Amino acid sequence: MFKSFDDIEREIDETFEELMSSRPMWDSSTGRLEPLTQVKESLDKIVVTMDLPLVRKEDIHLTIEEKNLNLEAPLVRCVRYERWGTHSDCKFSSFYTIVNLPTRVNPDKAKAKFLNGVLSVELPKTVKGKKINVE
Amino acid sequence: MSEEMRIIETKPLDSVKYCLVGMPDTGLTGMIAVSQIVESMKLPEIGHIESDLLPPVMVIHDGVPKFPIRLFGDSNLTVLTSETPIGTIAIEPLSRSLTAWAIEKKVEILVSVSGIAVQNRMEIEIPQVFGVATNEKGKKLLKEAEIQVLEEGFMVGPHAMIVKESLSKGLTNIVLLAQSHSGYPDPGAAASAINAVNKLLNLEVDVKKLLEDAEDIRVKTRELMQRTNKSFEGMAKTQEQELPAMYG
Repeated sequence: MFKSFDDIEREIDETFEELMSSRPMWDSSTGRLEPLTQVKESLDKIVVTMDLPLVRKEDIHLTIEEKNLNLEAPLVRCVRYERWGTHSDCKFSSFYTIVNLPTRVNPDKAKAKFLNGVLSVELPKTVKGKKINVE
Repeated sequence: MSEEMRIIETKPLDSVKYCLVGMPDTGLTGMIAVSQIVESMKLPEIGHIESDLLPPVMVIHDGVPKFPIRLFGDSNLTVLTSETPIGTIAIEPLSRSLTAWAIEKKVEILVSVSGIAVQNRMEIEIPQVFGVATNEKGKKLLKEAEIQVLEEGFMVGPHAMIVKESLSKGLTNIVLLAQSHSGYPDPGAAASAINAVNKLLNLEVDVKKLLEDAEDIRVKTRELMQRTNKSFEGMAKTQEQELPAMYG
């Protein structure tokens, strides 16, 4: 039996999600760490939060594209892992991530705040739900 | 003791006065708190847990392979902690074994340390700690330590099963729940939890270093937090943040 395009798309999404959640949250070749991120969707907006320890507010570089939120933020000092695994010395100097948003948002109305090392970005949805009159 | 979960004492103790438990859970609060207590009090390793229900993981420290769930301490205070999340399948056997072991060792108070997720954690400077006790003795101890009792809510995870087993065995179990981030490591919550443990068990563990190292701890526990968040998916963890169905 042939699978529908919806089934195939769902399988690809699930596989991608599995790969994303099981891959390492670091890249020693670029010295980048991936921050812990949570995406919450409500009726009219998407709220993305990220844990960014060792980061200063003025160093956060946040951009938004169609359905992606991009973050790059240098650490105030390098984080070193000595004698870790097969690495004799491993250094990381920034956080970097691209967050896939579940729907299109209005970038002009995006708001961000950074408090106690946690970044919170509020992104109003472009298409809000159409009101249905209840008879 | 459950056959599925074996507590192996490499340095056997006849009795234990207090037992502290801190597993990877909400904000890693319990694990960070008890690890700090072990380090600060220089408690020696005295055992570990073996089970086929645990993930096939060993950790290596200073070139020595170790079991991920280990016991530290002495006859006054024993601490149980884990460097890997406890999967749903292992929680109940672990709780059965731990409470049976606590009764065998005549433990006076079994204290579980954990976090309770709060939505506005970003705005909270010093997280508050709430307590749940399995009997009147525990409630009295909470009152003496000026720890507010959690009046309504849900508990999900290892500490919930330890409460269940303690109730059925008549063991004094106190759960300390510090207001925490739900999915981010929370050393600030762990510091509040340690202060509550200090008052409850008359310890003097300093949280200054923990707070100084908080940002490094948050960086270095990201992956354990990620794995712990993943393990919550099978245990309805979000129920802890639900409003109770009160109709009485």
